[in-house]
Amino acid sequence: MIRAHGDALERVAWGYVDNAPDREDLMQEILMALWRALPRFRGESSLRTFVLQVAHNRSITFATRRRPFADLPEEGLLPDPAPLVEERLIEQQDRDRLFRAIRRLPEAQRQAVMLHLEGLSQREIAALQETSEGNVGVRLTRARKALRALLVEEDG
Amino acid sequence: MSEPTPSRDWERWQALWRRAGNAGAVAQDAPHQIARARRWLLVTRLVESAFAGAAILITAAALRHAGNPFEAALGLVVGVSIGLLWIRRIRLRDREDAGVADSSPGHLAVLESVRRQEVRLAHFIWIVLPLELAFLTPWWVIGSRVHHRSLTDPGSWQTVWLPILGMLALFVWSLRLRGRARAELRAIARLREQFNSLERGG
Repeated sequence: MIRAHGDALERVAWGYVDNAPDREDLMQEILMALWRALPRFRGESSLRTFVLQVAHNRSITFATRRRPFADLPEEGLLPDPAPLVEERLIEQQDRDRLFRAIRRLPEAQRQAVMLHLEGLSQREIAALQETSEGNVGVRLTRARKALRALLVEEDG
Repeated sequence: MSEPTPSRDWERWQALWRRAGNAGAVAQDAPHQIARARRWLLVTRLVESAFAGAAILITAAALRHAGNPFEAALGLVVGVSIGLLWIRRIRLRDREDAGVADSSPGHLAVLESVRRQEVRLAHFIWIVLPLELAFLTPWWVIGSRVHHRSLTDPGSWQTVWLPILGMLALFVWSLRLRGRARAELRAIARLREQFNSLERGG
């Protein structure tokens, strides 16, 4: 399971924390939560949705007790396994900017965006957020506008 | 230059997003991380159980020397209360763990309820501690007189100072538990507002 979804778990963690020590702690909590929650999985959703649900919920718990984000988040948080030629470096910077912008979204929007980027349907996101598909659509539209503005602000 | 369409934005961000993360590294590290977390959980539970067990044993020892029915009843109340605190703590932790597979608003509701009960748990500790002190004090005073013990004797360390240190530690822990739970309650209220406020612009 972790081999199949480990990259998604790592992305979820980076969506909630902005530095390596916190990421390490959060990953440990997510993995432990999954290990304990897996026996309760009844197949009502896909395993991927279940894994993301547990990861997001554990991250929310983590976020309620951690200090606010540092003013200057670390760069290059998510190293690409491919060699870092110039194009890759630029891409990595773009990715870091995207993660920083996502972390600045309000929680419900941030979660909807991260699940959407993972490829979950609006129906799956709605079930996870206990809301209607229409509301998820509205949340994503607002989040897209906010993200664009944040990315422009970062570029400036 | 025209503004990119929504679908172009999502495609671009999705491509960036999905190239991040390394499943192999996470899978390789996972057994160590889970083992470490399990060890930590086990140690925490052992410490809590040892603490509760020692508190109950000391109370039981004092109960055997209760001088009158009122003292005996007080000791019984204190002993049962310590047991209840311990069980409550375990059940709250289990409840929080079980809520992790809920929807996010459901999970936040569970978290809020657990934190509220932790605040109550801290308040309950503040009731139990003075009762424990009231119950143990005659035992300490009379015990020292009967056994001709000074406050620095090894026996006094076991029966007087260790329980006092334990009670102090429990008091400090309850203060921290309450402070942390209240801070988290504020954060949870903010998050619940965000999940519920869509119709109002969230």
